[in-house]
Amino acid sequence: MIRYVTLKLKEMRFLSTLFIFLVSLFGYTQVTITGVISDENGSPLEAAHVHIGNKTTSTNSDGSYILTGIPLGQQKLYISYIGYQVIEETLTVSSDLTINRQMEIDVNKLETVVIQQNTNSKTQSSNEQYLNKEVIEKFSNQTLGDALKEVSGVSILKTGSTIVKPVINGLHSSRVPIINNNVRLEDQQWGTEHAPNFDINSAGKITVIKGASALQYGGDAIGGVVIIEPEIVKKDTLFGKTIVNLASNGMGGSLSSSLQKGNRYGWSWNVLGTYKYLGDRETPDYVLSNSGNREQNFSGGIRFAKEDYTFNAMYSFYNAQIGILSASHIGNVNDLYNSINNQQPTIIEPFTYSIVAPKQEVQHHLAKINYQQWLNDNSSLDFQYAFQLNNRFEYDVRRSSANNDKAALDLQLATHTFLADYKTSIENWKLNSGVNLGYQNNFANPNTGVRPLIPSYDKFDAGFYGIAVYKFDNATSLESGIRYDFSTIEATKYYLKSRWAERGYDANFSQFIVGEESSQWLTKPTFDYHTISANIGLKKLFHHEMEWLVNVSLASRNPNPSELFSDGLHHSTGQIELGSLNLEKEQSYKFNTTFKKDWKAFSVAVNPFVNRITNFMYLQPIGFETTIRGAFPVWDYKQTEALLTGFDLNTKWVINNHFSHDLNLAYVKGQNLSSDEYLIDMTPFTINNKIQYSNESWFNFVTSLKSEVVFTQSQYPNYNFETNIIVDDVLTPVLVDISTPPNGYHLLHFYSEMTFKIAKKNSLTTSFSVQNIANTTYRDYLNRQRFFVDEMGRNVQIQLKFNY
Amino acid sequence: MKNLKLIALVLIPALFATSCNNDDDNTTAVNEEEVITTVTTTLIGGGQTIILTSRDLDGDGPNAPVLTPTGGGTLTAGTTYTGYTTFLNELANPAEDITEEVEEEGADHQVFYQLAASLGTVTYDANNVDENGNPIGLAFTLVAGTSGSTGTLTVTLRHEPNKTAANVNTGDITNAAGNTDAEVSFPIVVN
Repeated sequence: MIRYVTLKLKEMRFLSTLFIFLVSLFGYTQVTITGVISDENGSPLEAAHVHIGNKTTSTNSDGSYILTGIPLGQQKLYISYIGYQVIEETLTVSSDLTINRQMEIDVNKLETVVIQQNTNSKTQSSNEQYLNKEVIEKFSNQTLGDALKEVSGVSILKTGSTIVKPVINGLHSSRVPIINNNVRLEDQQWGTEHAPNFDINSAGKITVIKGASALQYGGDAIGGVVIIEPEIVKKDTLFGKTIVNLASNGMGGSLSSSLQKGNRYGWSWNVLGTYKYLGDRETPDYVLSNSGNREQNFSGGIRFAKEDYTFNAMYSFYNAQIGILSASHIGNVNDLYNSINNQQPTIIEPFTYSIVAPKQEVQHHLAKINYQQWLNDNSSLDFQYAFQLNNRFEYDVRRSSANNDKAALDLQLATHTFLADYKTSIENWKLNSGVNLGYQNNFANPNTGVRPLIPSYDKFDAGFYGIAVYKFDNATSLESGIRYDFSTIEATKYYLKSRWAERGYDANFSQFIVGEESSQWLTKPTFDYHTISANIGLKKLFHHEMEWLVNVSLASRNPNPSELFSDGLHHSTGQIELGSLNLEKEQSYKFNTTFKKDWKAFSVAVNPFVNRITNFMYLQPIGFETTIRGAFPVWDYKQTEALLTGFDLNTKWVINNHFSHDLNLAYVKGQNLSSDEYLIDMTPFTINNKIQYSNESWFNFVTSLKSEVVFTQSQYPNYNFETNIIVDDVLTPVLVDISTPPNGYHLLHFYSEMTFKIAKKNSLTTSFSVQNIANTTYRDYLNRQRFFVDEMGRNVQIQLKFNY
Repeated sequence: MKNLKLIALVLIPALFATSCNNDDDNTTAVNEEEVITTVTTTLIGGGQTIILTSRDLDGDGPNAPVLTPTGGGTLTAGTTYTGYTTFLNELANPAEDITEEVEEEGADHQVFYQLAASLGTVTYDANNVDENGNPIGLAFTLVAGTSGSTGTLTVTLRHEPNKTAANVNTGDITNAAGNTDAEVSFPIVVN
């Protein structure tokens, strides 16, 4: 009902705007405005964006533009070009005009690799960093996580070499939502060994927001948000790109090819296909057996745009087969103890491309339609419907070989989301409000013969948000937003009666029991959540190229299905994981500030943060359970008061025309305040140094040497446990050291590229890179397979990129 | 304006139609396969029949396996026992005999016995072998050790062991690798 009323209001507003527009069209004469846009040296700027009234154009190669049909009266002029400061003015138009403007360089945008951007931001006051197309392309045969590691303060959580998840300021998974193409990725993201189901090649730009301030995407981003946008070309052109990668480690590579028809108005479209094929990876000393992976991805979209509306439709399909290290499939605590103490994997086979159990097969479909209507020059209304279907099959080594083709975990997750978003700017105000509705169904196939880690469930979500930005002047703006979310989840789960009793659920949750089947209760746990999230932030530019951002945010996250319902043995870890129906929503209060200062050749940005989290959910060992397979440590989802503090620092030094140096370092400290311990799995202190040489006159030659130093994590909780294992045929108590982080390490990486113009519009970029030049043997604290094997050794890669 | 209405018309019913399509209430209980609930090792010799059983009817649930007889098995010093081990899934009705499966896929399985030398020594039955002539280990001989010894007899069923690794074919688990399907430590006394 409410939506209809607002629609009507918007309609009236739209009609009145249209009326005024028509009156102005027929009632007044129109004029033509011409001019030339030049750069700081007075040379013409091609493809600068010029916007007067509701007409837009781009400048020609001589910097000239012409705009016709401009109505008389007060009109807004807006000129932009990447790397330059935007020009905004108000004109009084009474006759044909010539307007020439010279643009000034925006010093903040001169960093080439990772740029702090000002225009087109997702938020006004929080720390945003983004990866541009050139950086993304370097990671064409890797993953989203690998690419995001380029951003300071972002590290990665791995399972083996191929399953990579981004960690922002120490937090990951459910705490770092990934927004792909304006759709929140729903791909069983709670699992630490579930990589984002996304083809890196389809990203045009990836933005990282280290905080919960992008409220339009949700209020639960306790760690931060990753926003992926496709490349949109608003120029009438057809172009293609093919990237071929070859990697020595894994003896394979990838091929990604795309075609794009751009257009400002009218139809435009794009298609992209990616194929990846890699075999077993290798450490300096041995083969990582069963670590190969494959991907076959497709995406395509169409877009139709007019002056006042845009229609978009897209579909993408991600299909991956990922081998899980054979040696990481362990039995009971004996096997775990032996792996940790021997420091050698139990299974080393010769190199192969084949992938056998244990393995994952994942498919992710995303289809969406989006419609954007410009109500007037300053206001627009967006509608979007998206459907995601995620199939996840995890195959385990089964006792009976007849069952090896049957998945041990078979989950199908269907997610529908609808959103409506209204944006407007009135004088110094920018307002943004909207509604999100979502329905999700998870189906855990019972025919696997294995009790599923998470149950079938239905979930319904509704969220409302409002964000306001007030610009005091060109140097100061204040942003504030609030969001309310309602969520209800109903699961259908069988609990072993013994487990139900052991958890003590009868006291509070007996109403969930709806039936019984021999030794199990059939339950329908239902939970409703109401959450409020909010943020406020200030951005201030000072003279002398100094910028200050400060942001305070409140984020709330409901327990995810694994935190609520996990129940049983988690195969790749050899531990029994138990969810808890008693968990409450977790809330974070994050304070985040950034200082940036630019000198002529040197710039520095420092970003300290404090993240106080109440009801922080984490897994903690609580003892043992003995089964017929032996003893297993039991990890229970607990809640605590947590405090995360730390900082990220970036500097860039342009030494001369050819040499530059980049430094970024990141530190985070996680404290469990309730038990006066450190938090588990926090990113160790990291320092990256990169020295780069570039020479444009030599086929755009760029080469760089990067040093990556990861310190030993000394801040960790001691969760070691004692158990009895058989030593020399006799049961003997031993200490299983699962807590001590591996030693720190230092890696060197080399990169070089050259670009050759083949024809006017065709070019070929070749690159040669070496990761881990010294073939260093190391283990990483944030790799779930660190108990079993070393990390990958040297990897030599060749990339060919054709633009046509 | 037409576009707006059109989109709304298409979207809203689509959303609700799919929301109401809730057909997953037919979730059934998982029929747990591949569960071993019961490991039984029987020792026959010197006029004695000793049946050692470990039974865990809630699988990976919180209840520990129940060992019988309570107090463990009592062997007679120096006696030679003929032994065999069986595996059952008693959650299935009727109970499923997993021993057969172990035997059929003998190349992928091996049973290991570990006990202190003072308790006795175990040798595999040379007839209980897989298609490659390697021991499966379901049948064995145990010679009890010296009087007054106490400890445990650990019975382990390994899946996909490396049967050709050093000493694995004589029953030494050290280099066997593979995964543990069952592992039970029975208390033993030698009198």
